[in-house]
Amino acid sequence: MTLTTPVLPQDFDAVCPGEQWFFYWRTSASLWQSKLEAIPGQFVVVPLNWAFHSETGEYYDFAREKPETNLRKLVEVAKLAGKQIIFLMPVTPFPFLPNGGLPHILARNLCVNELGEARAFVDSEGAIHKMYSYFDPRVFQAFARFCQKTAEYFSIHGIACDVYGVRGRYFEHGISKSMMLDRSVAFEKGFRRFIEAKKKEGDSFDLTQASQEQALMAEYELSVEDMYVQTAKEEMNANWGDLVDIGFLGGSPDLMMERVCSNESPTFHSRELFSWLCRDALPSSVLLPARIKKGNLLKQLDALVTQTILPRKLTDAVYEDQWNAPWQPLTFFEVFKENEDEILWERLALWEALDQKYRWCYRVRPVEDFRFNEEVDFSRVIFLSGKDLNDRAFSDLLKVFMSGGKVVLNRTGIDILFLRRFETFFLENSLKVEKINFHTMLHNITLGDGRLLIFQGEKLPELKAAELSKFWQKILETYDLVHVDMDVEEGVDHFWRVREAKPSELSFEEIRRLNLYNSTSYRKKVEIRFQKTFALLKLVDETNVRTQSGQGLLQIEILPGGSVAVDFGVYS
Amino acid sequence: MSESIKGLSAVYTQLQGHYYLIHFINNHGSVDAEIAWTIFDELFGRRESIYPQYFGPFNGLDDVTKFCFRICDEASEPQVNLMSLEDFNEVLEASSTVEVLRQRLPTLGTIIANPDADNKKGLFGKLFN
Repeated sequence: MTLTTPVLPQDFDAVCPGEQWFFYWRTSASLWQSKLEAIPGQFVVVPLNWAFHSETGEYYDFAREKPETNLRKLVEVAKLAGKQIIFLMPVTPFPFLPNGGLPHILARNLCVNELGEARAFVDSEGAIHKMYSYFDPRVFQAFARFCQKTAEYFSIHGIACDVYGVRGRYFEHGISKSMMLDRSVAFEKGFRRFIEAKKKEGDSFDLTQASQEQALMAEYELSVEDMYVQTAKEEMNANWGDLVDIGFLGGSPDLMMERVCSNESPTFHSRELFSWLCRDALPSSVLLPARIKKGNLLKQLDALVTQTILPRKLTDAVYEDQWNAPWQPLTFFEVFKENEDEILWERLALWEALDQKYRWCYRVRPVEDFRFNEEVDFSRVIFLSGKDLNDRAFSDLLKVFMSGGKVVLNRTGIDILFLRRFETFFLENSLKVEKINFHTMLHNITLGDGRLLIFQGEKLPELKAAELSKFWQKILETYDLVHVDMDVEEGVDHFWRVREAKPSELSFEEIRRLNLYNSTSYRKKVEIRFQKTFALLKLVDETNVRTQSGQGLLQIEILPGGSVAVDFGVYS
Repeated sequence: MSESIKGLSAVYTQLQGHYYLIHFINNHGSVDAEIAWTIFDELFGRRESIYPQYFGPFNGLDDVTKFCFRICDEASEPQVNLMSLEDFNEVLEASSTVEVLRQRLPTLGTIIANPDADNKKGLFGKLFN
């Protein structure tokens, strides 16, 4: 008979807040093993808590004083518990840690946003954590020291676990923002130095123009963020895995007051979760209290984060048999934006149009990610803004097109030189340019499987919402995307995932899984109509649902709180 | 048992020469935006705003007060307190938990009492609460 300390649910939530995360500093080292054993799965995600190892940023405690700073023991204990640890090295403030994770002596400049409002986050226990500026040079120097000391400790003690650099992100009014965001005095001072340096280099700009000032601020912000990333990467080189963006559910200031009043809605967090998946970020629910993480939100976190995104983001396992790989989000479109604040595609009502049939089946990506390389998926339709084109992007666009890719280009704001180069390219390759006037002028060019659709975007916002919706619907129809038709009643969340077919499923090209969740208090209906290229395979994890199927038709009635996953085989 | 926010609390700031409310809360969280905008339009007419996410623009603090008190009255709340963003930042910085923040918020800035709160419970009051 053995005597063990029982793990109370509330205590467990504080230490193991979900999605395989483990907060080693929140419990006694003697309890690590029992808690790690209670975490399902093979991997445990452990964020490194800078302030826990150093109060000043000078002196570091790794197993010298506090037993809970003994990371070597943590790794050994995890091994005994049958777990593999993945460490996270924050390169921006972390919203679930006091002072954003900074040692208290370095927490000098309170971060404020563009309005001058202090940046603070409510954690799962109701504590308010204020963020302090990472733009203070003293913080950067101390961070470099932290990375160096951690790397030394790992090296001396032979800790071979992967360390991933992580950038925290949150949503504000639907825009993804960096946890680094700051407009405090520390930021202003650094920005002035940045401007002076640029002037010395001979750059010319006009700071009285708000757009130029904003662009320079964004450039400065990114360059500082990159300094933190590079420092962590260089110091932790032996263990470095990759850089990952983490989207914190409940981090939105839009919901701050609801969180202060303990009146937040899980539905809001579900939307945050899906939006993070569309931005290729790893969602995390560590800020959410346990009372919110139940029912469908908990199911979504388990299916979409723990089982789908987390293994893809934080394990560098090579899936020799791709069919053993976990699911991945189904993606038909990649929409490139100059920056997160840009609302060009919003003004053209693109998201509403995509959501009609392809809800959450798109990726929103920064324009600098648009490149022609082996990772380009030519089955996806790429949306680009002409104003974002530079020589490199223009050349990559042509390569994507010539290799069979599909690009939709809004020519608004495009440099006239690129338009001339397009004309020359079409002439030289004897490509026929099909011109269509449908609410605006469209130029359609095809080459093999490749297709380039160029449209004049500036007139579109003047259209009525219904006309604009029809415009996009007609355009999207021309891409012959293989997908089902669905009628989903409001209040039902759904998300598509895909994986390759297993050898036993050889007649299919791929398997798609549709997860449906009814988080309302009403009975809801979903109707799915599918063509002969789809075969209904099975229903998984049915909870409070009734289904009826016919030829090419599936009707699902989902009771309040109900959920179901539907697997379809897709023929080539 | 957590403390409730007493009445309404509003946080204002000045942006591009106009005042805006960046937080306007009751004890459930943010006040119902649809109803609040209806009252705003009724009081000041529809105004172009470069910050549509915040209530405003208000031409001055008097307008902010008028708007907040009208909502307080319609919602039959016992008081509304108006605080500047600077005041809000200070209390946020000094509050370690949401409990502490909830207790402190109603005590800050200019507090306007609504003596008729108990006598009236109109449609807006029911909707707001």
